Amino acid sequence: MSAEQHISPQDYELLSAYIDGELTDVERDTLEQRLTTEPTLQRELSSLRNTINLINQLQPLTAPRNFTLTANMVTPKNVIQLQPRRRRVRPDYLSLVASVLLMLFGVMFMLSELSQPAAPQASAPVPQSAEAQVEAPAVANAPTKSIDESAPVGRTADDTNAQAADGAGMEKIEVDNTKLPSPLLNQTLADEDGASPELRLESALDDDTTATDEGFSGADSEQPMDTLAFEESDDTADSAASNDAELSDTVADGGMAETSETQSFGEVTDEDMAEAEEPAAAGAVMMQTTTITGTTTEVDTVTTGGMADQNDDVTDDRADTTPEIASQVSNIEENHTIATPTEVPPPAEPPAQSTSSPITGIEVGLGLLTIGLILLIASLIIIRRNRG
Amino acid sequence: MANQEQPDEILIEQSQQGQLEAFNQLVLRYQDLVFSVSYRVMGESQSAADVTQDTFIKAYERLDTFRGGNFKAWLTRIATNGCYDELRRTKRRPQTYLEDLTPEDSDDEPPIPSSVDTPEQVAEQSDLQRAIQQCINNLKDDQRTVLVLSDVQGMSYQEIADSTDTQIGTVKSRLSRARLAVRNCLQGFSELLPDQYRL
Repeated sequence: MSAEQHISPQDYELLSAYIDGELTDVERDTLEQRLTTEPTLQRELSSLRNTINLINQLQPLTAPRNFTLTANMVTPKNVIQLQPRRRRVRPDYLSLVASVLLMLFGVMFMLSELSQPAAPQASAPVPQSAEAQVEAPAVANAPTKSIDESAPVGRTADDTNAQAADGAGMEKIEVDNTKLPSPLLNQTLADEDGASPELRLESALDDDTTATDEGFSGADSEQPMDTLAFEESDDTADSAASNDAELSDTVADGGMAETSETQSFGEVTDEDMAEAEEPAAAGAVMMQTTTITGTTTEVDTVTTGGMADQNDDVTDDRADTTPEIASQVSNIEENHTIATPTEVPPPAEPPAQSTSSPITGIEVGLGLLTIGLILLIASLIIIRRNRG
Repeated sequence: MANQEQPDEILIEQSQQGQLEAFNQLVLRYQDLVFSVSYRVMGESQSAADVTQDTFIKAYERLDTFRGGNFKAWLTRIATNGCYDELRRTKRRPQTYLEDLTPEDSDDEPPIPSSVDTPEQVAEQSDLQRAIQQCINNLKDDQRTVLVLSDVQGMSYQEIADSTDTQIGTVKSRLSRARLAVRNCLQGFSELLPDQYRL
């Protein structure tokens, strides 16, 4: 019908409600005014009225039979249910309660997982590799490099917490305790040309100036300690790996122990040890980084593991050194004694991740919440249906 | 009988106390309404009879949930939900069977109009009613229900809203669309339409 194209669904709704008397006074007045000015609307109104009248001809029907109930149609439970005002627990309400409980459990589960304190971050550094890691800049600026125990290998988080702050920037040195740096004293670790910033054990050892009690004063040298505590190049001290390699090679070449124990060439002074944040942890390996400048040698000692014996051995070997070195060695002994290493604790492992369980816990909580929501919706639908 | 004169509230209360006879009085009072609605929605008498019987059984079982109000609307809701369930179960649109409108052999007696007309009128009405019923059957379930309750049963918008668990605005919208659809459908049966009802 072409007129239909000009009549909006809203107008049809108005016309339909108008026929049924379901418009408000304002709506009716407005529509009646439009009917006087819009013939198309008037025609549609007439058409709708005829349609309704036709449908009205579908008269209400008479039931073909009686649908009264008999006793066998009504189960005993139904009768019981109709007992006066007896409260019964309906399954749909039970499911509603169960859904709410499930959701509560889910939320509580999630909250409990989220409220768990984060596992303390291990201050303990990752286990040190054989090559010590150098944090040059901070160490470079340290006036006095003492024993760096901030990041020893094998330290537990607890052990190194106090040292962590200081450890930052401190050089970490792993000491291979297996070799004694007996020829260390004669080993030139630094540049052959003897550039001043370089560490030359040989020169340091040979020079009395290096073997002084304050020889390791950090003020004398600001060169950062390399992994093996020796600055081996003029260029920079921040190439830890290269320095390590160089040092190792140099040490090896010189017949010295290929360990940073060469640092424990007796040049660790009391002062250096005293600067250590803490005494070496039991079992911690003492790693020393020694910066030997032209005249002084700085030794940074980092305790990484049970190097007591090795240190002692080193100390013994050093007994063969010059008297100056010997004094240094004795100092080292004392220092090492002060910090009695013990068994190296196993590398600190990442704390037991509670993140996995939170993830799992949260997933469980989300699952319970989801199930509870689904059950809640289903229960509400059933309750609504049962009501009518 | 005295019970027939009793208002619905008394019979409902007695039924809630377990008196089946009181409930059967309610059945007799509303079975025509329920069957008529069921038939118009389902489109055929057998399904309508099944829905009607199930409606009263459910009503008896759930009578304790009736908290007063319009018992007619409450009962009609059970009937319409039963029709929806049956339609979904069979997944079919309601069909109009000729035997339902003619005195043919059938399991159930054909629906008997409330008023008795001449045979010619009955025949004409049969064809027209069949056409109208067919157009109603073509409607969506929700539109068909609203149209039957309004234009066949004469229920108000509020009663329809209560029976279908919807809002009055929804009733208005569905009813207007249903009427427009039936009008467009009946234009295909214009030869059956009386002159005064030419669309």
